[in-house]
Amino acid sequence: MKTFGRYFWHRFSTTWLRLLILSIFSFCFALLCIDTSSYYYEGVTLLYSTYGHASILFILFALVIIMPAMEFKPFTSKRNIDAVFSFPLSRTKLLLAHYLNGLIHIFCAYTTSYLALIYETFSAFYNSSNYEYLLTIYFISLSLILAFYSFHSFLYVSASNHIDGIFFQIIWTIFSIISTFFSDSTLINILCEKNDKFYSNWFSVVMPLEELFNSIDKILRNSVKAESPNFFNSAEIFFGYFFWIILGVTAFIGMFLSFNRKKAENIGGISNSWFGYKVAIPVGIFMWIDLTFTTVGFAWSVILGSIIATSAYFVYRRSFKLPIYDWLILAGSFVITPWLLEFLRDLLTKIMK
Amino acid sequence: MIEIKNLSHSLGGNKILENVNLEIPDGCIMGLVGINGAGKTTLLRLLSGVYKPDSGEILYNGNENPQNEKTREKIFFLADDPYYTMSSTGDSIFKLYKTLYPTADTTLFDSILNKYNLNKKKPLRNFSKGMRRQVFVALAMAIKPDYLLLDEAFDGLDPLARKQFRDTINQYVEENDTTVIISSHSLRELEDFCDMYALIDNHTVSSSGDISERVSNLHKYQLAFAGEVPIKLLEAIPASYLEINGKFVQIILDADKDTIEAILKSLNPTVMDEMKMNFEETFIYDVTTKKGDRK
Repeated sequence: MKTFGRYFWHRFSTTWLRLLILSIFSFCFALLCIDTSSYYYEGVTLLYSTYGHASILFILFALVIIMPAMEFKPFTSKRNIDAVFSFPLSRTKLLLAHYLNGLIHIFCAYTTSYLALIYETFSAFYNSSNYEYLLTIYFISLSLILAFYSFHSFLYVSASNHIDGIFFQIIWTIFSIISTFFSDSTLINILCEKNDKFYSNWFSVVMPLEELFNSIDKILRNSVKAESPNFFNSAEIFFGYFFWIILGVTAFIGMFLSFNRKKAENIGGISNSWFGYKVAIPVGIFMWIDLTFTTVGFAWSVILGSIIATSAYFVYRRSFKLPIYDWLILAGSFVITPWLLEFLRDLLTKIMK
Repeated sequence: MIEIKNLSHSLGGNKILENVNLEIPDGCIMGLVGINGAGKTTLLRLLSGVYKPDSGEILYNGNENPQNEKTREKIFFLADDPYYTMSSTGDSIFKLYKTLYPTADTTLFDSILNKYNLNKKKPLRNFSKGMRRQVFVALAMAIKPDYLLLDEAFDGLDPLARKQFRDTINQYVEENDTTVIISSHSLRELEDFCDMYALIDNHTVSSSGDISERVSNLHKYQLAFAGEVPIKLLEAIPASYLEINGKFVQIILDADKDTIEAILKSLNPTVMDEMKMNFEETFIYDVTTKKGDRK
């Protein structure tokens, strides 16, 4: 443990400047984006703070993707493996030291941006009885941020090289955001038709912090009206929150298991993880067809989807020569998806009756 | 002692090492030799814990596995292309390693760098390849590990730096009883200061032992014949290497010297000279004869 402590302290002390810059930048960015101008609406002054929490969310979104890439980059370079994996420190401790350092950076940057939010809004609309709710939201959000960071760290560590590590994170983030485009998805439309709560529950799973920060707006509006907010009246927030906590804990454990099992000789090479291109490309094909075939027609959906998916395989294999196995998966995904969509639509319709 | 037992490892589906068995006694300087792609670096990576072997085991002091972090506290692996970042200096690299090896000697590091005339505050990216290697050699010495693994240690060093490096290693081993395993293509350098060698050929350690003993086992003779060269008689001799060039014959035999000379004298050569073999020639012989390149 002593070696771990020394190594962690060394890591922290050599990245303090980055910590300082991120914290100051986050504070200034949030400060600039928060707009405390108010306007009258039906005789009640309401706080116009839409950009405030959006700026904080943007900072967090960038940090949970960037920080794993910055902290774990030494573990994805072929040139570094001789030094890094011969260190007298177990892989678990090595990963943990970098993980914790990244977490501190994210927490500090987030905290300074949150302080900017508190400063700006409460200097305009002061109501001390609602401070406790803002503190409650802050601590709840910390646990969500921990879950996001763990999930993104897991995705990055699953990759064999730096670029794929970033791509893995971006791909799954894009998928989760696209999945909220319910109006274009035939499956989600069916689910929403039959279940009023489905979309709001699904949105809270994909964007739990958005839900949480919407509560800040409610709190601030209630501050103006000098009322106490009924913060915990939304079941959707809890649904998304607990989903992410469970996912975060699983990802945290998975990250260490994945890293310990990783073969050093594969680092810097093709990323064959099941949490990367291997599954993401067929899933992407499925989502693409589900979301686009009603608007552009099945033929164009397949043509455009094929171009995108084939390009993704070129990126995956780092080559224009794809093995037969990849061509089979590609073709099979386009063949199976329409059938699968039809099957799922029928199944959901029957279940929802 | 380092014991390697039935070690096998593949990379990307290609067999690199198969059933390697080797014992490396404490306090020796072992030269690891082999042609390009033989598996020298792979073996060093397995010994340092970077790779986990597919099968077999590596034991330090009878029971310590290099996969264990405690064992790696006693090992330092200096790779062919050591890790550093754009902003790394000798000082920053030393500080990093001092966190991992707290017994690293700052004074020794500074004195070796002074000997090499290197500034530890200067970014490593501004150094030549040889200068960077000198910084890492200084680091390796300062850490004082029980086991020092060096991959292509002489690569990039000028003749003076090579001499300084050899002298430093020799002094270091004498003072600390460190075991050094060094891979290099510069066999002349290895011959000068290694006690032992291990030749990796055909996915395994095909020969190993004392360098001078191995070299002395082989005898190379140059013969000259005034009359016709007795080709059939020469070919009947169980020579490891035979080259006939007009009236001149070069022959290498792996046998007792007296027996060899008796056989060769019976052919009545006009001139018969024994030529001293060096380790490099021994290596070429060992590698090529196993591939059936007998002339």
